[in-house]
Amino acid sequence: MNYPMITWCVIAAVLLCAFIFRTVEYYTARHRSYSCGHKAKHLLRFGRETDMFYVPGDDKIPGIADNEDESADQ
Amino acid sequence: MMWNDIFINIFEDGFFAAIAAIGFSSISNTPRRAYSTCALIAAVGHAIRYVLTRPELGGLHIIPASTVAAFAIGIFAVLFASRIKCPAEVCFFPALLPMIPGMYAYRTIEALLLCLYHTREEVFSHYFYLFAFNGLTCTFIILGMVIGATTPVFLLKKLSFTATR
Amino acid sequence: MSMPGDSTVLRQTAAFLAEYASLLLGCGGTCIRIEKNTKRMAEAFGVNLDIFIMPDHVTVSVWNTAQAHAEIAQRRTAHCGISFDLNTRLSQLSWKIADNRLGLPAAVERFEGIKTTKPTGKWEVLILTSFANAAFCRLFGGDWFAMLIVFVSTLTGYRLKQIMLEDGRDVRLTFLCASFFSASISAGGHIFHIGSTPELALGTSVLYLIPGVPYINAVSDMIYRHYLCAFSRFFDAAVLTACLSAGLCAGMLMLGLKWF
Repeated sequence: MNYPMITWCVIAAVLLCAFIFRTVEYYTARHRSYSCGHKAKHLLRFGRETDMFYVPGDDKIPGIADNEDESADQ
Repeated sequence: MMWNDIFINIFEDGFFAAIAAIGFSSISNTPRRAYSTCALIAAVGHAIRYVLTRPELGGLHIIPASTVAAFAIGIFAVLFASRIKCPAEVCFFPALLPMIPGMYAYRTIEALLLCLYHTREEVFSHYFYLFAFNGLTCTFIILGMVIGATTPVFLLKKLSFTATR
Repeated sequence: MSMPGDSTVLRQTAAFLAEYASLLLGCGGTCIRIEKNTKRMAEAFGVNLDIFIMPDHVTVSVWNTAQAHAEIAQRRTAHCGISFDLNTRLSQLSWKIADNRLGLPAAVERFEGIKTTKPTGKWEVLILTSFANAAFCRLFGGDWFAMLIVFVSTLTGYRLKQIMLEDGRDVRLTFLCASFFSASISAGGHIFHIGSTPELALGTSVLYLIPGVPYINAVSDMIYRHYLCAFSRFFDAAVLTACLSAGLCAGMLMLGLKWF
């Protein structure tokens, strides 16, 4: 084994982990939604704009939607 | 016999272009009834380009060959569009995709990076030449293709905008 | 029934036409199509119309023949992703309205129905795209091993793209990651010496990400002199292409492929 082979294996493993992670998350979320009916939180996630600009007492900040980046270009 | 080989090659070329067209049309949510038409148009278009660029058949340069093939694709797309009741661009876009000069684009980027990596003058000029050559060819193929394919829509305006009627 | 000159009806007509135009622009319709379709419907409704299309917004101005009332409606472009299915249905709706003289309420009802159109199934798209990219590799002269490598790398890369878009990640980040992983996986052919054309596999593996529809729409808009929209579409596509090239280069650099 040389350096590129190890790197390749690491990259492939990371991707595989991501898929497995996703599948596990999907099934646990489905399982949980049957039992207590709330949405599963992601284990790791980016902060949203609303989290950053939120001041206690605000209902909703105008102009910043919660679910904005949903455009799928291709 | 040689002609036999050429026919097999043309057929193979059309066949793989058709598969590529179906796959890429599914990305942009094309209605299912348009798949077969897209595949047919793509196969015909790519086979035309293949024939035109073969030295023993057409012997054209790849830029005019792509433009001619794209023009044919555009005309077919406008004619078939009203039969499947879809706008013309639904048909010609997946058909154009297999003709996109991916290898030229890829070699352009590769040459650019090599260019940055080498400092000696003659080596640098060689890679810069490769970069400019591939980049220009790629740009003009795409321009020729898109203009070739949109011209029929422009010329047959009435037909192409009443396709979904 | 109220007359088309009535202010309320005029306002509703303007709102409907603006929403229609915003959805058609969002699903990848060209500017000329949007203009033609909305004009056709406005004629059927018996009103005059002018439309102002910007990359991110659409403004529709509607007035009656006596020029007594005018209404303006502005909508943000819908973010629904490119969909030729929606494009087709919306164009059909405009002809139905023009030919069958549907009234505004019927038109709105059908429009709401079109909005709920489901996209093509994600597994179907995943498999078809992978086959398509493998066929692409063949067109460039790759052998069977290269086709197999491209198939696998497209399958993983496209699935990653789907997952990231479902999670609402930024499109540019998504393209960067997808191209990085696709390129890295397909570089396996080079690293483990599989087949005789591994460099073709590497070059083809990211081509499924190229945003072809915006490029072609940009040229179409340019021909019809909608230069701002053409420029915006072109630049959107160019940024995505730059992201995917960056991902490809990062993958190649990381794996230390020999031409660097």
